[in-house]
Amino acid sequence: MDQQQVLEMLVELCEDEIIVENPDIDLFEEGLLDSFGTINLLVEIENRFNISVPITDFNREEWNTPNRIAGKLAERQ
Amino acid sequence: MLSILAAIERVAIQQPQKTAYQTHNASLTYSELWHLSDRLADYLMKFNLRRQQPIVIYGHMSPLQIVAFIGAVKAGHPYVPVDSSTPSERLQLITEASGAGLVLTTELLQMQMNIPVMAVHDILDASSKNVILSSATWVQDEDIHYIIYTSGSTGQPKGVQITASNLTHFVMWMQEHFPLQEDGVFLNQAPYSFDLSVMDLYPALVGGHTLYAITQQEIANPKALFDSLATSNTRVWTSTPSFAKMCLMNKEWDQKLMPALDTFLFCGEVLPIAVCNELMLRFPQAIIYNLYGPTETTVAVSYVKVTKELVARFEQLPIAPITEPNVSVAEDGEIIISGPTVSAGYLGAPKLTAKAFPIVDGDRIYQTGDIGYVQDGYLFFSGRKDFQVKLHGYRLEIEEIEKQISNLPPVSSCVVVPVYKEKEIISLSAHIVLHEPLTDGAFKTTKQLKALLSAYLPAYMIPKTFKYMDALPLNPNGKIDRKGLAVMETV
Repeated sequence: MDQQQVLEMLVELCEDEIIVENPDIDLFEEGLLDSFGTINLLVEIENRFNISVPITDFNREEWNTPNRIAGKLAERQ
Repeated sequence: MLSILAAIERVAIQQPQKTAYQTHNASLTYSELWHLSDRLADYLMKFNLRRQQPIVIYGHMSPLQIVAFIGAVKAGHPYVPVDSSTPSERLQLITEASGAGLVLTTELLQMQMNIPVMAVHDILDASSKNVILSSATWVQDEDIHYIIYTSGSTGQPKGVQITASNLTHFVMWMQEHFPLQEDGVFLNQAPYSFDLSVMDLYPALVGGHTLYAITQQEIANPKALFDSLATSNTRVWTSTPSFAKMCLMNKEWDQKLMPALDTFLFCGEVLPIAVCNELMLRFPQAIIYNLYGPTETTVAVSYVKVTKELVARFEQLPIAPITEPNVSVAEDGEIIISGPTVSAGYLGAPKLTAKAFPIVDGDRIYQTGDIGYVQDGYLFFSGRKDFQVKLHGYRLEIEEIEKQISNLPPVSSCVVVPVYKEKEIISLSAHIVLHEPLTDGAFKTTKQLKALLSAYLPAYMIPKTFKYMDALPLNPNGKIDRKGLAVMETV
């Protein structure tokens, strides 16, 4: 898994290219992810990268930008 | 006939110290509920409102919110629940359209209103402690008990008026058909702006049970949510299927985490079979019910019990057995609802009411706009006659969203289409023509438009993606090509 793959996944989930242009964008503040989007994100992470993130480990403050998500996933690989 | 208020009073006398309502950090006994709502009602009656004039109640899950509902109807006024996540312009619109004489708040409301605004807390502080209220002022029979605003295709939300008699019939129906008698905790997940909340609220209070309410803040923070669910001791679960689907993402959400859970009541949108299969595995003690009904006929009017046999037999769950007396299908496929829970119509909208609620053989019926078909003794839901959609359990009129976007100063015209994934709507996409060509870049413009829109529409009604076009695509008949756009939006 590399940064690019994470960004591609987020572009598909959020349906917005802005993620590639600005990987420090706050996905929750900008309305690109909501509670249901979060769920889809965790499912996709498991499907694509075989990394299981327990929903109870997911908090919005630490998983709010594409770069942070990529960083969190790199830690868990 | 049972009176909702008389039934709650009986509970308050018989088990005054029992918890009526609880959140993760606050609770209320039946005795407190009864006496505080008496004090509130006593104060409200001195306020010189018109008879049956609505009272807007603004707030979120909290004990005083329930006190406010019961206090309003004790004083003879229907209440209009408005969740504190509602944008200011929409609150203003609902307040004006309802003709409310007062806004009661249980959370801080910062905007200026044209009618008096009072905090429930302040009223209780100022009110006399020794009030004995007679039942003479209570809403009853054909008086309106609550008014819930739903999305309206004209661009104006519609106020559905539910009478005391509608509500009583609904609660009696719930008690007759579902295992609600045995003592236990009822989960309250839906905010009070949505009538799904009525499904747990009144059956629990009338039965003398404890309601456990979870807040939107907990839902946004999964750890807090599951901690709360684990300590709630919930026996009866009411939610949209979307919410359960979200919870299923946590692999630890199961019978071990919620040992008392034995009843699932689902309503508000299609219940997917995959969700039922997973729930049956994780909650072997629980029975799942799929309920059906629009706000206009008081929450729900029919149901099926979800069994292994049923999920194996059909690709989609039915919404009613054909023996259900109050639900039928017209020749054109539209689902028609009759019976004692059909609402008194839309407040202040006689034309809309006459159209949706025709009188047949002296009785008011409701034309749901839902399309259904009958197969093997069951009724199935297959879609809508109009542009209403359900997204994560929220009922939305696409036309209302389009009107609000088109009203924004930079926008010339707009079409909104649902985005489908595996036959399920996952989001909305707006196709927009601007007056001036894009100068700031699409992202900045979208951000600006979404910010403008958030004063008028709740977050769940704001499309996720905005696409800019020079002109909206037309089909060969010269109409906007919604079908073409919808095909583009299937992922």
